[in-house]
Amino acid sequence: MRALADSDGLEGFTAYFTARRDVVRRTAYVLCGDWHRADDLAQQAFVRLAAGWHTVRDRQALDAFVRTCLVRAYIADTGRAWRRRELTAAAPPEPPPVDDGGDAVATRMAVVEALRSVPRRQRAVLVCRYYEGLDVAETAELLRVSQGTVKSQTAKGLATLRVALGGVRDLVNTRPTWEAI
Amino acid sequence: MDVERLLNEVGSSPAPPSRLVAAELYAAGRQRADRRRFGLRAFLAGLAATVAVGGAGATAYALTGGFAPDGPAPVAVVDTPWSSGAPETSASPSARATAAPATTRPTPARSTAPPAWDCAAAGRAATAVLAQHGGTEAVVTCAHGTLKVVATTGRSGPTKVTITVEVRAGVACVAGQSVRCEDTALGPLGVWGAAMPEVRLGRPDGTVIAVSTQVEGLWSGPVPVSTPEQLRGVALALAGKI
Repeated sequence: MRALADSDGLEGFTAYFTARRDVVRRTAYVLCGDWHRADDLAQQAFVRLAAGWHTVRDRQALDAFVRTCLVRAYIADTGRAWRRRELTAAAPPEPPPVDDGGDAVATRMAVVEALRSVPRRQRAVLVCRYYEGLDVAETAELLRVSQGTVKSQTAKGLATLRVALGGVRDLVNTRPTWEAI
Repeated sequence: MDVERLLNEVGSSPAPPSRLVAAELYAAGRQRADRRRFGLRAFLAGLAATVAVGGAGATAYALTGGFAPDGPAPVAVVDTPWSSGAPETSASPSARATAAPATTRPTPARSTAPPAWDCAAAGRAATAVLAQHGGTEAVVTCAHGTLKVVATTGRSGPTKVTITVEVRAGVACVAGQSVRCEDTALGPLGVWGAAMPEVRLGRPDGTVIAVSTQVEGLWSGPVPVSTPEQLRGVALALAGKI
């Protein structure tokens, strides 16, 4: 009975994992800016999902569950002392040229670098709001904070990102989209 | 600033090959769930045992008169002052009722409680059994009524495979989704988990012998003494020796 249940569970989990692995990894990458850490975060999220696989009744909620695990793992992970020490390492010796507006790779690297300057909670809020497309209430529930906190963290995160992206002229409009907050 | 476009730009970065494997993640998740379930059950079992032992102890204390009010206070002995005319006598011995000399030799009270379990001896026996299965460097601990023996069954550089035996009070097998139960000649036997299972054998005296194998690091090749059948053999061997 156990073997049968495990077999069914493994098949379902494998199907979901195969379908959603890349999406989860990319979200993790946007959160942390490093593919190795993104794999670690995705692994934590999927392990948590596997731990509760037999208890999940609503298969439509799997994405939200994995997203929640991912973001909370990111916040918890970067809060650890050893990770903080790692984050204080020097910037890459060869920063990408940010004034090359036509180079998509350089733009991506510049944005990743700018995102590194955004504190982790603000960054998590930005990713939830603008990458995952969650609204304020959903983001607040995911991060277990109030809606007011989500709004203020969004504003601060955008401000930090705007300052950090000051050199990327073609990506930054002069008028901020505060309505989105 | 179009934040959505910027973040989507980052998210569309070419990704390196993933090192995540569905089967491994699933096994790790199931193991995590099993561990959490074991922890909760162990906590509840410990709580129940504490309440039971506390209740039994209080009952025994009450039966032995521990809660009875104190008897009459002993009378303080005051030396009689010497009278001037009275002859001097030696102080009389304390008036204490003494029983007549017994004609037969008294026998010590025989306790009805079972003899205390010798944890250290059981640890030595368990170490010997594990040594027969390739276990070396055994570490035996006896704490809170639980015997724990950890022995190394494989080593490759920093990677180590250990087998753990725990003898404690508890439940060997509860029919459930993640448990496979069977009856053996020595008691019910439960196999918990699939990837790295734990085998529990319940003896009639209420003790449970739990055997499991852990891998510290990345072990290549088959893990020694890790299949349910192997762990079952160890548990049955221990049940006859401990």
